[in-house]
Amino acid sequence: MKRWGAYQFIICLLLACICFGCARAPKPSFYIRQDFDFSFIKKVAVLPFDNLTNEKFAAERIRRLVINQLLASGLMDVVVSGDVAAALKTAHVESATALPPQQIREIGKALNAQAVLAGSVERYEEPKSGAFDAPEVSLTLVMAETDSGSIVWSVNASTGGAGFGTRHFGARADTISEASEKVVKKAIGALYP
Amino acid sequence: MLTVMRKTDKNQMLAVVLLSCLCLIFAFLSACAPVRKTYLRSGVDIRQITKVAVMPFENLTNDPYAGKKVQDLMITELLRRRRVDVIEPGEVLNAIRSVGITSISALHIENIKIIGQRLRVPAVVVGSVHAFGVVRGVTISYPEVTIYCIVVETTSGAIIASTQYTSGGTSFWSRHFKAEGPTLGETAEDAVKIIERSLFLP
Repeated sequence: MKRWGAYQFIICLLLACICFGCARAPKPSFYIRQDFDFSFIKKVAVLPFDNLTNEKFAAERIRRLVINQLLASGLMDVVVSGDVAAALKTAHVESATALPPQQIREIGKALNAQAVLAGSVERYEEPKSGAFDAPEVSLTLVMAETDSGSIVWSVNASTGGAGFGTRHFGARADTISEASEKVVKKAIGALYP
Repeated sequence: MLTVMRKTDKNQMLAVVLLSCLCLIFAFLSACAPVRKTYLRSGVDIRQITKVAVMPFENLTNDPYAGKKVQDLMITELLRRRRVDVIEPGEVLNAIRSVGITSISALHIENIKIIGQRLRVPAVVVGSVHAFGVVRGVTISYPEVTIYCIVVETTSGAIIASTQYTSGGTSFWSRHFKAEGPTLGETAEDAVKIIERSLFLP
């Protein structure tokens, strides 16, 4: 009977370690305007993201992931990237991350979009951590509605580092693409949980 | 009585061992699931599309030919499955040049409509390759392929399907028993197959 009690304790400890080991990622910090009706947004234009990393294509990769995740959420349509590029060129925009409200309104009108989504990628790397790789991805997204040009939602999300399973049991770590997918899902999930 | 008690102890130990193994297997499997996200526009039956043009894939990797390799794999897979017919790549290039496009990332709705009319296709496949290579890990190397793909209707210019898939990473057997994993080519083929099935349905 004592032995059975000991076995039960070991099983519970093992399950607790697995569960707590999975819960390593912090929740994203976000702002959402309370008095704004998000169901008003039928179409969003995802602007080119700012790349604050050493990886040349990091921003464009994350941008495509965001577009796919927004479409997959089924809650809004997304403007084709080429149309966004054409609209930015027409509005003589030099930096998509520093748009004044006037230009946001112009772009919204040109693309028939109720909101624009800008962002930046802060970290996109795979540092070698001891005996394993631990990809780190960090991004910030800002959504502005095109009627007034004001910010209605912003989120900062990051993911990465080696999990409990990877560190102690040699479990497979995420690839950088998988880590990117997770952080984008986490970020978009803050808007539509 | 003592024999019965010993048998009960053995059964309990066996149950504990089995339960622990199940927990560990579950933990490993949940870390192994590939990541995929697909969007299919409601109200559109993609099965009605019988002919497509595959645009050159945008290359967001360090491999200069990744876009072309994945485009070729996609064309082959579409033809192999015989679900849709595919316009010959040379004709697609001619159509792109005729509308004055120098970069696929600058392709906008009006261009897509013109290309659709010229090639007489109801939809075009546009994609980009985000990862295509062998990643050198600390103790092990593994192939990684990530592809993003959308299907755009040429009459309206609307995105009717979108998906993204990442394939690769180290397997359990490679990590712990140094088993040979798939090659980069095999990984790319698997990724394209899954993308094709996600977009055009089985």
